[in-house]
Amino acid sequence: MSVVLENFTIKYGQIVAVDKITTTFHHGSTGLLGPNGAGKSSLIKGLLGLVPISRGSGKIMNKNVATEKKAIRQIIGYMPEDDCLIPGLTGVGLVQYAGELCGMSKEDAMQRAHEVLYLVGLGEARYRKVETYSSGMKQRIKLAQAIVHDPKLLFLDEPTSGMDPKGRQEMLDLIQNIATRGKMSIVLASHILVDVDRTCSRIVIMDKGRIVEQGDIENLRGRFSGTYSIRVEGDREKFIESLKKSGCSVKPDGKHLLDVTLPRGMDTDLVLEIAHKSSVQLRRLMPGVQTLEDVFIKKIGAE
Amino acid sequence: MPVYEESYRSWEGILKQHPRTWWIIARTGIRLLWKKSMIIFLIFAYIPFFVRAVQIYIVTQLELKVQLDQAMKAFKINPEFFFQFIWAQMFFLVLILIFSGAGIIANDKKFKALSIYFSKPVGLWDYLFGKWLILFFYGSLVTMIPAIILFLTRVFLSKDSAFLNNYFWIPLSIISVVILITGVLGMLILALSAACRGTRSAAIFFFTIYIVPDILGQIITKIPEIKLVSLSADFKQTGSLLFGIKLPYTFPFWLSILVLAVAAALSILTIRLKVKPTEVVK
Repeated sequence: MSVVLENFTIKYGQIVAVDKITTTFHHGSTGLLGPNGAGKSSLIKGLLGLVPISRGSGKIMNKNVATEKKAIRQIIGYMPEDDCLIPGLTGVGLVQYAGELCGMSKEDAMQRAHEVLYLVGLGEARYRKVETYSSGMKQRIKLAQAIVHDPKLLFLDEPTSGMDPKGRQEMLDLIQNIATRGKMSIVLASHILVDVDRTCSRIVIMDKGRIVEQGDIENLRGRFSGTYSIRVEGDREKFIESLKKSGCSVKPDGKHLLDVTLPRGMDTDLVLEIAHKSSVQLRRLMPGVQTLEDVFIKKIGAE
Repeated sequence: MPVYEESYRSWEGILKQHPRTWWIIARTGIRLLWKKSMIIFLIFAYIPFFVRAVQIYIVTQLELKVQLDQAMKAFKINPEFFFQFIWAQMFFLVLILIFSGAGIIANDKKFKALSIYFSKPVGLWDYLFGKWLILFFYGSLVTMIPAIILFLTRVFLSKDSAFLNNYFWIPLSIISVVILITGVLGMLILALSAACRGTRSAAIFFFTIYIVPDILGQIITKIPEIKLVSLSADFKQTGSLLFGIKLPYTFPFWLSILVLAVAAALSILTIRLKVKPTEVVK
C-alpha cells in the first residue's frame, strides 16, 4: 500500500481543510477529484509535511508522515500546482539541482536531468533560463524535477493547469506513460474529470475536506449504471420494503428522492410493478449516473 | 522523435541516505552569484589588500636597510593592523550582503521556489545554513581571506620567528571576527529578505538598521551608551576584544555581545515565522 491515512485532519486556524480522512491509496494511479477548495492540495501538502497535521496519522510506504518527513520526501516526487522555479538556473540546472537535493550524485543527476527533459519535451530548451519559459514549459519542468530521482510515489497537483489543449494532451500522455512504464504509484489531484478518467484506475472524490466516494473507476461506473433516481407519493416505506425484497439496493437521497440500483438483468418494469403493487404514485424515474462526471456531480451535489 | 524520448525509463541508481542538502544549496547559490559584475566588485574590494601588502613589504624589508623614523613606526604590523584592515573591509562586506543577500530568500518566495526545496529532503535549517554559507563565502572573500593572506605575508617576509611566536593567534581572531560579523549581519539580511516583499525593501531596511543607529550614536555624544544600539559599534567593541586591543567604548563588552546575540536571535525568529514551505490561502 502506498498511502495509509487514519483520521487525517488538517486545519488552518479554525478552517478544517481535511476532515478526518481514513483511506488507503493502493499501488497504481489514484485520482483525487474534487471542486476547488475540496482539500485535495491540502491533503497532498499534509502528506509531504509542508503543512502540519492537526489530528490523526498518515503513512507513506510504511513511513510516518509526522516523524519521517525527510525519508518520505526522498522517495516521493511532487509537482506543485503553482508556478514555481528557481530563478537564474537553466532547465537542466534546475532538474539536476532537484536530483542532487534528493540524494543523487552530481554526475547521475546531470545525466538523468537530460533524460527526463527529453522525456517531457524540453530537450531543445534545456539550456534556457527557467524564468524565460512559457507556462506550458513551466508545467513540464515541474514534472521533470519531480521525477528526476525516479520516486516510488508521485504527487501531481493540477498537472494540466494553464496548458493549451495540445500541451494538455501531451502532459496526460506523459503521465499515462510514467504510470504504465515506471514502477511508481501516482496520485493525481485535479478538478478536471477527463484528466483523472484518462490517467487513473482508482478515484477518490473529495468535497469540503471529506471523502464522499472512492473506488475503482470501472466499479464506480458499473455501480452507478443500473441506478435510478425515484420519487414517489404514497406509502414510501412500503415501496422501499418491496424494492429491497426484490433484490434492489435502495438508498434514500435527501428528503424525497431514492437512489435505487436494480439487480443485474432487470429493467424499470420491476420498479413500475412494485409501485403498482405498493399503491404508490411514481413522480420521478430518471436513469442514474453512468459517466465519471455523473458520479462526481451526483456525489458532490448530494453533499 | 528519437526512441529515447518516447517512454519513461526507471533510474537504477542509489540515493544517498543523508544528502548534505545545505552544501548543495550553498554550492549552487555561490555559482549563481559568481557573475562578471561580482568579479569586478571583488577586484575593487582587493585594492586595500594590495596597499596593506605593500605596507608590510616596506616595513619588513626596508627596516633592515634604513633607519625607521617616527612615520615608519606608525606602520607597525600588530593585531590592531589586522583588525583595522577587517574594519576597513566592512564597507565591501556590507555591500556584498546587500547585493547578494537581499534577494536570497525574497526571490525564492517570489518565484515560489520554497515548495521545490521543501518537497525534497531539505529541512528549514539545511535551507538556512546553505543560504548563509553563500553570504559567508562572499563575505570571507573580502575580509577573512585577504586578512589571512596579509598575516602569512608578514610571517614569510620576517627574518625571524618573533612575529609568529608573539601573534600566532591572529588568524583565529580574524576567523572569529568574520564569523561573528557575517553570522549576525548574514542572519539579519536573511530575515529581512524573508520578511520583505521585495529585494529593494530588504536592502533599504538592512541599510537603515545598520547605518541609522550609528549616525545616532555619533550625534548624541552625551550618552555614550547610546552606541550600544549600533551594530557597527558592537562589532567594533567585540572585535577589539577578540584582537586583544584597547576597547573603543566605555560600556562593558558583554553588553555588546548581548546586543549582537539578541539581534541574531530576533533574525532567526523572523526567519522561522516567515519561511513557510507553502503559501496557505485562507
